[in-house]
Amino acid sequence: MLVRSAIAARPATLVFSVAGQTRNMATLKEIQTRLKSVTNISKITASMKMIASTKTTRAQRAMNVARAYGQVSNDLIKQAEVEKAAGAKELLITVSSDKGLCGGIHSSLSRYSRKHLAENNEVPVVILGDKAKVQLQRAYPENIRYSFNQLGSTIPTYDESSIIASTILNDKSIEFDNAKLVYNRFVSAISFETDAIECYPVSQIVEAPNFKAYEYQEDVLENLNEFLFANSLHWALVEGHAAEMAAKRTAMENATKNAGDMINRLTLQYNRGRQAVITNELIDIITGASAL
Amino acid sequence: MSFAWRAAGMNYLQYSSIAARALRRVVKPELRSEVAKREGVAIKFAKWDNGKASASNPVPVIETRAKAEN
Repeated sequence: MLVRSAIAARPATLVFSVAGQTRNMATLKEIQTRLKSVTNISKITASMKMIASTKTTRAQRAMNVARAYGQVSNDLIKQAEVEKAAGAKELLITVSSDKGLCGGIHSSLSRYSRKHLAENNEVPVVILGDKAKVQLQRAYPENIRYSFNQLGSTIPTYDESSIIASTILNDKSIEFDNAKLVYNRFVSAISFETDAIECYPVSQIVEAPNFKAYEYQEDVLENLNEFLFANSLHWALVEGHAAEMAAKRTAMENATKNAGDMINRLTLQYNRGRQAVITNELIDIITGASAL
Repeated sequence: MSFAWRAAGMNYLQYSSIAARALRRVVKPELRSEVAKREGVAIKFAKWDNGKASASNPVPVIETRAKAEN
């Protein structure tokens, strides 16, 4: 009876197992290819994470120095209690960079900028960095006045910030009183927050309640204000760079972890498939042998 | 009191960066390498008009006579 059932079972299992074998073989090869490519990718992301973490430590050190620059501007504004005048003309400067693979850095900046532009349609925009440019030129192309690129591969120097500020100031066709610098503030190694620095013109500083008590020379104040503008821009650039390096490190760490999980899952699948093929072949041999 | 460079069309940032560049040029050779890192601007910019960008150009840097003589 066992033999009869085995004979009856044999053709079906034979056909089934041959088809199953071919199917399994093809799947096995596919899984092998996927395993190889995911392993390569995880090696790349692991090395990118290493690079990003060394860049983060260096960028953080530069950020602490640049913060001192920015605090100079901030302190004067805060102590004098400068206020933005109603109906002042604004300029929006979005401080991003050219490089990607850094998580939500650039999309957060462009979201903040787009929200501001939705409320104030006529504000001119200066974009630092290609990533934000791509996103903003789709939504508000007429507002853009300047776009700067080749930024973000190295820690920004004061020379660079000063030249950007000077190019904006020298162009008399852009009329603005206040400038709003949209940048990413470095909160910690794993988080950042998009924020804005406000820059004021001489006319508003002069009207500040605590400043009115003093005599001043208009020329000197103009110089100081340009210096303060470059300071704030430098602070925004360097802190944004540090936030971006930290976010890149986190993103690459997540990518490496995900790739590792995928490798484990695929390896299990591969081994199970391999064992299934061996088991099927064994079944064939045994039923074939028992039929003889 | 109007500054000569302001009358010539420069703003304070250009004036101070020329001064900084002059200072960097007179640094002693041993310290020159770490100072040279702070110089050099590779930024490009494009002026936009009506939603269209012009071609990218390097940012304008004022060259001084010292550079020209070199």
